[in-house]
Formats: sequence, C-alpha cells, structure tokens
Amino acid sequence: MGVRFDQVSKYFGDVPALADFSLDVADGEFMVLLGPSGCGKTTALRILAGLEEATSGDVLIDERVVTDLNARDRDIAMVFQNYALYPHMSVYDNIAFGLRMRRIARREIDRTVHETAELLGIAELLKRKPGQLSGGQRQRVALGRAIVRRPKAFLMDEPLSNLDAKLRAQTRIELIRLHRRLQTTVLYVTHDQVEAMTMGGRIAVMDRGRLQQVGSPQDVYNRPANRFVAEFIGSPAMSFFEGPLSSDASGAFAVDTAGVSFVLNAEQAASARRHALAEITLGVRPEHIELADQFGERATAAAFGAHVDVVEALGNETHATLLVGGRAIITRLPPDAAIGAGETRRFAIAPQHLLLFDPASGGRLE
Amino acid sequence: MSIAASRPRERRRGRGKVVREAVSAAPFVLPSLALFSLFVFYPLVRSIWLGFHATDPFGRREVWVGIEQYRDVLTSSDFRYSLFVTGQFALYTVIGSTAIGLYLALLVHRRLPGILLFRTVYTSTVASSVAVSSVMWLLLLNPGVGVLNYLIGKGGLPTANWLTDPKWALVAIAMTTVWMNVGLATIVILAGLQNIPEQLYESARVDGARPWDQLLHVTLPALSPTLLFVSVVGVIFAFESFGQIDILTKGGPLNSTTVIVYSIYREAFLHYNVGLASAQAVVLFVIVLLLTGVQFLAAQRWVFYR
Amino acid sequence: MRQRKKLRRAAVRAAASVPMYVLLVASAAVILFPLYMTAVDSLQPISKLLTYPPDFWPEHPHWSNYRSAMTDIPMPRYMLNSLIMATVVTVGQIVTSTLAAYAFSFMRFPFRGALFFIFLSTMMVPWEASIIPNFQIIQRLDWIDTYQGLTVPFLATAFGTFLLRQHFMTLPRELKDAADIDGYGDLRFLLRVVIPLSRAALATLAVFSFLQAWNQYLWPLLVTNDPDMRTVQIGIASLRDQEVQRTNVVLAGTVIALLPMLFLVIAFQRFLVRGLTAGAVKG
Repeated sequence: MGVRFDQVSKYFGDVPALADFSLDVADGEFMVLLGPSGCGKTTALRILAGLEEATSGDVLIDERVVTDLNARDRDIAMVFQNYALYPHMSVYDNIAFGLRMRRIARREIDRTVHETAELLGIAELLKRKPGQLSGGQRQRVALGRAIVRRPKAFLMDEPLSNLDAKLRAQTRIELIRLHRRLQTTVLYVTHDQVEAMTMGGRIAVMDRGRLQQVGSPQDVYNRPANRFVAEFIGSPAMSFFEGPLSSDASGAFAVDTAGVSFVLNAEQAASARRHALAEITLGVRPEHIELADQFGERATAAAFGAHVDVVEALGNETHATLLVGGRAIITRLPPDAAIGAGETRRFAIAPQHLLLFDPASGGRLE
Repeated sequence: MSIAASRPRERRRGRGKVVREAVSAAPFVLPSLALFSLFVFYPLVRSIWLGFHATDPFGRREVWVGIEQYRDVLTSSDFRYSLFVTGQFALYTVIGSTAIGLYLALLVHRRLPGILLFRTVYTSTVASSVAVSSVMWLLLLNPGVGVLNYLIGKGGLPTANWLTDPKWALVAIAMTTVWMNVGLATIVILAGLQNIPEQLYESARVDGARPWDQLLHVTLPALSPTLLFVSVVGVIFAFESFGQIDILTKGGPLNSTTVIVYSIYREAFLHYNVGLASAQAVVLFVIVLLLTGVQFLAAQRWVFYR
Repeated sequence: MRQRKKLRRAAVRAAASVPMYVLLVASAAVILFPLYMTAVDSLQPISKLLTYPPDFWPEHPHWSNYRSAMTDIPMPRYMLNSLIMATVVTVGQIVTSTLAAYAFSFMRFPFRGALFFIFLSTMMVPWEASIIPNFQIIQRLDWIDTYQGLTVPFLATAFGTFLLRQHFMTLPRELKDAADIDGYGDLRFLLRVVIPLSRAALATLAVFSFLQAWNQYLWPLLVTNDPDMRTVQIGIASLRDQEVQRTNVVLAGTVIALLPMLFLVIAFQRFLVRGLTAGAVKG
C-alpha cells in the first residue's frame, strides 16, 4: 500500500538529478522530502506524478506499477508551489475541474465542491476568480482542487513557500489537521527543515540526487546518518571539530587544532577503535555547548575557554557566537544567561552529546 | 497645538520641479510627438476639412459644401458597395489568417527535433510584401495555365476564373492576403502561446485533462488577449489594403474588389477629386474606430486577462 | 530487462511523433508552395509558362531571366533606393522610439498619461485615411522624388514605442535608482545601461521596421515618379506592366525583391517571436 520508489534514476545528459532513489511510503503516511535546492526532491515528486519520465527504475502506487502510465491515470493530486490555478475560471470551476474531466455527474460535483469549500473555509469565495484572491486564499483553492478528487496520494511541491511567515505557520497547522482528517498518503517537498520537522511523520533527507536518511524527526535530529544530515537539520547548525585521534593508556581522545581537547567516553572510544580511524570528526549541537559555571558536577567531554564575539538575545533563548582558536561556533543558551560580548568565558560539553563522524565518508559512527 | 486635528501637510511637487521634469522629458518625447502631429493628426484634421469642400471636375476649384459631401458619401451606392466589399474582405482575411495562424502556431509550439526549421518556414511569409505576394499569385491564379486551377481540377473540384470572375475575384485576393499575413499571425500567436506557464498544463494533466481538454480549457482562454490583438490588427490591416488590388485587379471586375482605400486612391489620384476622396477617407477612419471599439466591447465577454 | 523496457518506451514515443511530422511537413509544403512555384517559373522559358499542364521543375534553368529582370528595368537602382529608404526609416524609428519609450518608462513628467494615450491613438488612425494631406505636405515641401519624401513621415512609430516600453518596464527599478544616486543623467543612463540591456528588443524592432519599410507600396507609389527614385516594390509592379508577356522575367524580379527580406527573416528568426514574448502582446 502507499507509494514506492524502486531504484529510480533520472539523468539529464550525464548529470544525475536522481540516483538509485528508493523509498517506501506507507499508506496514509505524511512523508516529507527534504533537502537543499538541486537535491532531487522535486524531480522525485514529478516522476511520481507522471510529469517527468524516469531514466530507469519504477514507481508504484498502491502496489501497482505506474511508471508507464499517463499523469491523469495515476489517481494522484498535486499542489504546485505557484498554485497553478486557471486564471479565467472561478474558484468553483477551478475546484470542479478535475471532476469534470472525469465526467462525474453535475450534482455529485456540486455537492463535493461545496463540502470541500466548507472544509477549507473558502465557501464565500466560490464565485471569485483567482486574480481577486490573496495568496493564502489561492493556496486553499489549490488544496481544494486536490482534495476534491479523493486521490490515492497528495503530492505537494513547496506549497507554503509563497506565503508570509505568519500565514505559513498557521497553514502548517491546518495542513496537519487536514491530513489527520483525510488520512491520505502525502508526499511533501520542502527545503525548509522547520516545516519538515513539524509536519513530517517521516522525513527523507536528500542531497545531490541521493537519499541520505529516512526517519522520524527525532531520528533525523538525534541520530543523523551522516554529516550532511547532521548539518542540514537543526538551526543554528551543528558545529564540527576535526582532528587526529590519539590514545593513551586510559582511553582515546581527539585534539582539535583549535586547541580544544575532547575526551571520548568508553562507548565512543570503542566505536573509534572499531573503525580504525586516524582522524575523526566530532559534531555537537549548539544547545549542548553550555556555560562551564552552569555545568555542575557532570562529566565533561571537553571544557574550553572562548572569546564571546556576538550575543543575540531572542527572548526565549540567547545565541552567542564564540571564537575558538580562530573559528566561530554558535551556542544556544537559556534566555537569562549572564553573558556579554567581548568576554572570555569557559564552556563545557557533556560526552553523550558528542556525535562521531568518519572524516572521509561523512558517515556517523555508532 | 491641537494634536487631534493636525494632519501632516501634503507636500505638493513644487512648481519648479514640474517644470524641470517637463524640460528634461521634452527632448525624449518631442521628436515622436512632432512627427505624429505633422503626419498623423494634422492630416486627419485636414482630411476632415477637405471633405467639406467639393472639387470641380476641371481643376482645383474648391467650394465649401459642408456636411453635404459626407452625406453624399454615406448614401452613395458606390461607396456603400465598396464598404460591403471591404467588410467581406476583412471577414475572409481575419478569419483565415487567425485560424491558420493558430493552427500553425499550435503545431510548432512543441519540443521536437527540427521544430525550429518548421517554425522558420511558417513565419517566413512575413518577409513577403504586398507587391511580391500579388505578383507571385498572379501566375498561380491564371485560369488557363495557373497551378491552382490545375491542382483543383486534379482534385475533382470545379475550377474558377479567379481574377476575372466577379464572384471569385475578392476571394482570390483574400487568399493572396491570407497567405501573406499568415507568417505574422503565427509569430504573434506563438509569442502568446509561449507566455502560458507550463505549470497550468501540468496541473491540468494531473487533473485528468486530455490534449483536447487542455486546448479548450487552458490554451484558448489564455490566448484570448492575443487573439483579440490579432483580430483588431487584422481588421485594421484589411481596411487599409491597397497594393494587392492595385496590382491584381485594379478594383474590378465590376468593382467587385474595390475596397475603400482603392476607391480613395482612385478618386484622389486618378480623378483628382480630392474633396470626395478626403470625405471617404474620414468615413474610413470613423468606421475603423467603430469596428475597433465594437471588438473591444465584445472582448469583455470572451477575453480573459491575468 | 530494464534495457528492453527503455527501448520500448523510446520506440513508442518515436512512433507517436510520426503523425505530427506528417502534419508539419504537409503544412510546410502548402505554405512554401507559392514560393516554390515562383522560383521554378522564374527559371523557365516563357513557352513553358504558357503550357498546360504546368511544369513543376525547370529542366533547363534560364538564368538569363534574372539578367533581364535586372536590366529591363533599373533594378539595381530600385534596390539601392529601397535599401536607403528602409535603413533611414529603421534608424529613425529606433531613435525616436527608444527616446520616447525611455521617457514613458523611467521619467516622470506632467501629462505623461495623456501623452501615452495620444501615442496609442495614432495606432487607431489608419495610415491610408491620411494619405491625401500627407501627399500634399510632401508636395508643398518639394519633397516629391526625394529620399526625405519617402522616409520622413515614417520616422516615428507608436508600435515601436510600445514594444520598447514593454521591455524597459521589465528592467529593475533599482538600476535607475542606483544611477540617480551616482549622479548619472538620463541620457547617460539610457546609453550606458538601458540600451546594452535591450539589445534583443532593439533587434526585434529593427527587423520589423526594416521589413515594413522595404515592403511599402502605396506611399512610394505616390511620392515618386522619377524612375531613378522608385523602390523595388514599385519596380516589380512596373515590371509586371511592362513585361506583360514575359511573366518569367517578372517572377525573377519578384524573387530578387524578396530574397533580401527572406534572408533577414531567416537570419533573425529568433528575435521575431522572442521579441514579442518579453512583455507580451496584450492588445
């Protein structure tokens, strides 16, 4: 059930837009395709929709191979980034269009369109034309047009990116509610990781045509598969430290060229030994770089002094940019943290918050 | 100072600034404006004035007759007939060029190897002038040895004496004109087609629209402003036609191809009846204006702007 | 297995495009037919043109027809006149349209809206409705049989102004703002910034202007009597009157008159459609 990509590749000449992309989406799941521009997420969506042909591989909807079917025979609905509403038709006609194309009885169409319009709160707009609507209203019409067809899957291509921040946040919540109510499979493409994290049942992170990781938002945040995912997810981004591994009689530790020395705990040391690495990359999220004098009695993986360069008070938290050995890293501190620019303070990191990566492949070490 | 009632005083553009703006803009706009005044507006006014004067058959004596001459023009059966001829001609050529232009533009608006070659061919007739087209068709239309009749005969249809039969002469000239205009019509409609966002078609496809549905519900509505333009310009061109008639039929046979401009030309430059010709010219102007207005009014119903 | 499926897909796609190609070729044949017959007949001896059924291919091409066309009437002179006239009109139209379009896009001045409407209205007046007074003006200025007479009335164009204005409106406002801050005057901004960014639109206008001027018939007919000043279009019409029996020579002349424009249209093909797309033709 649901949707499946089976080793789908798409080449434009020699350039792979998608390379051996395989993904299983369960029936009724809300799956987010996340990644920077050019990563292939939109290409994957369009191949699923039938708007582009895969160079190789198959796409399945509901266990049926649809790779060779026309877009109109796949029983999917798509919401475009720019809504693609028919400018000369009223909102009613826009929503009804798909049903009319399938020669559904007029009374049935009327009932369904009104129902959907009510659901989306656009019932009073039915007679207007798209040109007379605001961005948010147009987006609902686009949604309505998709919902009314009761498809096997909804495909959404960055539907919120043309809305202003406030409307976006509002609409996000509405989309979640809608999905809960309709229980239809959704494939949602976005480059905004906040959207992905808040909406996705699961997130498929992509980069340069390849799937990097699939998992729940928690998975992807706490157990990133590789450096790319670790860096892409989370804002402010994770900080990385690279350096040669050296061990002594008691355990293993890495020394960063910036002059910060890290001590790996038992598990991490075992992992490093297992992979027989000479150098290692360590990642730590900004909220895990804490003020040493707030740290208490816990064990530290590292403790170091840093020059505080810039302090940004956001109200609910404070971001501080630190200079450590010539590099800038960001830390997230509680809103009442007593810290000021120009100071030199000590910071500490707890060992369980350290993520280990292979410097060559970028993969995270277990 | 009352806080409640005070409103920021509006800054009006100082008079000095307005004058400065006018002075800077003048050299940019004046050349065109001067030329238009001298060669478009003044002649129009003068034509109206000339129309109020009758020219006697012997020379340049101009006598004020006022509205009389205009009334004569509007009631003369000759003029009415040439109006009818011109109207027919406009109908044939506008429908012909627009329909064929639409067909060709749709044909060539796709990605196929070599499509650029076909596009070049279809738009090539824009290179052809009135004189060139007319002379080209002269031989084709020859009833005896012309290729047109030969091909028609082969097809089993009855042939016609194209340029000498009063029933067919206008059609023959319309054919020549449509051929000549089809290049430009294709160019303009193709430009209109290229402005239609691809996503509209994609959305329609996903919604279940077949190619015919897409044509009906996406292409034609989106193309309606362009089609309006083609038709308005086409009507104006048709009412301005002269060269084909001068070269192919000289207004005949039996005045069946005397379009208004040819009539004006004949009166003014062959019969030296400047007054009458001017009156006809002014009537032509008014008719074209009315037709354009009617088309725009009708457009309210079928043209969709974005 | 995957290979076979890919090949099958490609084959289906190729087969689907065959009927399209048939239509394309058939339509092209119909459009090109008059041109083809003209070229063929221009190379035939006169005897062939009078026979029935007509010939579709010249067995012995009579290139001498072309020589006759060039010498029986002063064709080279006519071509020169057309060239001069078309060039002057094109340059004139480009200059006046660019200036006016610039003013309407980038400048503010009193009555701008009204003036724009006035420009628009000139497109409503059919040229042919004002030929008599225009002729009289040229006559009074003693410009009959002169290049001025042929060109001056056409040096401004509202169509060209609109075309360029549409394009200028697509240029970002910030360019002008930056120029203002830097102290650039209008003329300098126009010459150094706007024009280099408008090459395509200017090329389109140039092609259309040249085409229209070269192809004019009625006006040159009126204002030139001296064979030395006549243009190519009048030339082939007079060729037709003169060589009533030798249609093949007339057709050769027609080909000569057509060839330069055909070349222009083919060489600048991409500007024709693209020039109208930017900014769109909206009636």
